[in-house]
Amino acid sequence: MSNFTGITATMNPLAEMAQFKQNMREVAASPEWRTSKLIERQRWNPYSMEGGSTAAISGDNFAIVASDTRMTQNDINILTRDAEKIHVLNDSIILSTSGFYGDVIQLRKVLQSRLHKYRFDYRADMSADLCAELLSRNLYYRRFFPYYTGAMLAGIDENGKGAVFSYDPIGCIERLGYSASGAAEPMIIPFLDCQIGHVTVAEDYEKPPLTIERAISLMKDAFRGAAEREISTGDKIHLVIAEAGKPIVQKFLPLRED
Amino acid sequence: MAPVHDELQRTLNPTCTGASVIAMQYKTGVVVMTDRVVSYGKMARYKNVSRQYKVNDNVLVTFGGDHADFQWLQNVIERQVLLWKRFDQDIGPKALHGYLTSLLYARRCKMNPLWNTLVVAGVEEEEKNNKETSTPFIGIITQKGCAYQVKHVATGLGAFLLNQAVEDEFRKKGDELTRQEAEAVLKKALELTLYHDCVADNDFEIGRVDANEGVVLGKEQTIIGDWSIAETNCQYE
Amino acid sequence: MSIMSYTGGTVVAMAGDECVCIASDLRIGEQMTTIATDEKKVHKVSDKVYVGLAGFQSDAKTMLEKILFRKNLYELRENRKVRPQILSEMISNLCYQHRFGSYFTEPLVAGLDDQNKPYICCMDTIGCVSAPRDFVAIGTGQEYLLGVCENFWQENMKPEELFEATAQSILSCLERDAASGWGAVVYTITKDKVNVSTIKSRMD
Repeated sequence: MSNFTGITATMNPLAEMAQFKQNMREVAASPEWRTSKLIERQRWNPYSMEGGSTAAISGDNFAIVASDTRMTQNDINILTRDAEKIHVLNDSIILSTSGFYGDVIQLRKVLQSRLHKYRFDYRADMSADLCAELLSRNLYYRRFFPYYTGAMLAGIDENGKGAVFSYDPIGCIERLGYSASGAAEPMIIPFLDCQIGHVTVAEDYEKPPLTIERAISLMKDAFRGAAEREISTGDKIHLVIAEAGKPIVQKFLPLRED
Repeated sequence: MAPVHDELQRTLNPTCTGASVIAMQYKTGVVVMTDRVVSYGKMARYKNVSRQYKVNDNVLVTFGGDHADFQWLQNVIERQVLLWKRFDQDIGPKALHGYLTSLLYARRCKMNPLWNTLVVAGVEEEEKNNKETSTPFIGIITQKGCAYQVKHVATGLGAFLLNQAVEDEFRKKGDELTRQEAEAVLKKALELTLYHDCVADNDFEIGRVDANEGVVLGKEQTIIGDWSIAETNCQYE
Repeated sequence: MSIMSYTGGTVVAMAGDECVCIASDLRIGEQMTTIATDEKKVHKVSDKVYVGLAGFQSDAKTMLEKILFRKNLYELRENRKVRPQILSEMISNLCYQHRFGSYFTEPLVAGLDDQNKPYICCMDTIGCVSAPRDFVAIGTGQEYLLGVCENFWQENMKPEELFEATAQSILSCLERDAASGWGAVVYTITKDKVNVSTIKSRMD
């Protein structure tokens, strides 16, 4: 039989079989009839959007952060009416988030453990400035599989001033006077531009000072307006107020539930 | 190098699936209802299958989604329970919820998800052997690792059909709901899914976790529902 | 980038007490490039009836011609001025006649009717009318506008207040919408006059 030269004759039957199996796998994974569009459609999407919005305002000696508490599925179905989107990380750092909630949980966990380690190492709480930088690095670390979160970090900085840091999903950081993120961002931001940034008034116009009371009532107005027009925002306003030298205060205010 | 086709070894589509899970807190515990069918597409492939898994006396895990993935998860959970046992601890619902969240999120990040929506129901003991301080707990984890806690929930198609119905009932009484009332709400909810969800079954079970009784797995029950409306439906082909 | 945001542009209208305001930006672009900076998207149709056309401006021009044509025919045949309610119905019909191959423009109608009751409405590209009592916005800055207007609009505003609210709203919107800008024009329509003001805004 050693001289047999039929069609199945081969130098190395094992290699041939391996090749055959590989071909089989390939053709099963991407048969020729599958168009690239079809492949794209069948690819599993690791992200989902749970909706909702957050906003933050910083003042001379305070920072306030607000979010709604609704969590939605496909923007139409309410999963829960009291989701937690603002995370108080320590006495001077508040993280507020929107976007994909799975990433939010992970991000919070990462930050909390880093803050915990910092406390262990240095016997002091991390400052908001440091944490802001840390968050930026952590977001950029996942540059090619980003945390899909519109994160904002607010708090009282090392000089006792209010601070708001805004990020994009991959860690571009900017310190701003006020910011918003999430589904109703386009609705909240121009309102804050107008009322806090005073970008739409003449230069000689007398601008009201940004007190903590004014900031809070602006925040309420902004969210009530957003809840009126944006379906994934609603249920409750979660308001977190950090004032220099005072403990952080948390409040819940009612919002539209439809 | 030859291309590796990992996608063939991942759950990118569920195979045999369970449908809705409905759970609700009452004064001293949690009631969870699932039907007892596992479907293959729209076929009721396996009947008389329980979708509730008793972890220990305080925790009950229920699933919607891929049954095979959940069976694998049962094994993982069991190992976790044994790990805690080695330190003479009983895993609580909060801890298990956290663990499963990390697990599902990690699998998502590997683009190899566990195709389950998990409902972790239980009673969280603040102090050991002091039932007064125990609080009911319901935690949800979706396939992509998005986790949250609620007082009442309906997953799967029930999320669209029932969430509001269950919520309305819950809001009438709030935390003062008794077990009987909660079970009555769940049965009503199942009736609603039965009418609207073609993969829901009328065989169901109501498990519960109670601060005093621990986990009590439900007995198989059947509901018929009111089909008198079928008489007036003339749209059969 | 969709055709609806190819040229950019935003129009907003607000209703007050026996007055309406309609405002638009002045920019025309080709995607990111600004082509012209003096293009009003608001057009006079009748004495107290104005139309705003956002979206793809070539289509908007054609649409405007067709609107004026139909409106002139109406006025000749009926021998009376067109009311905003009638005009919006006419435009809606015009849009829906092109249901399968529509003009890529969203019309907005604002005006006072013969009893000086304010009327504002906007529609989508195929003529689905929405005529609320408070305000309407169309174009690339729609979302930005709706958020601000929601906070600025009040019931029964007088012409001066209404102008202020509309102007502040569109200016806030132009601040954030990259596809609109280069100033704004605001028409305040009251029962005996129409006030046109051009406002300075971001020039980028």
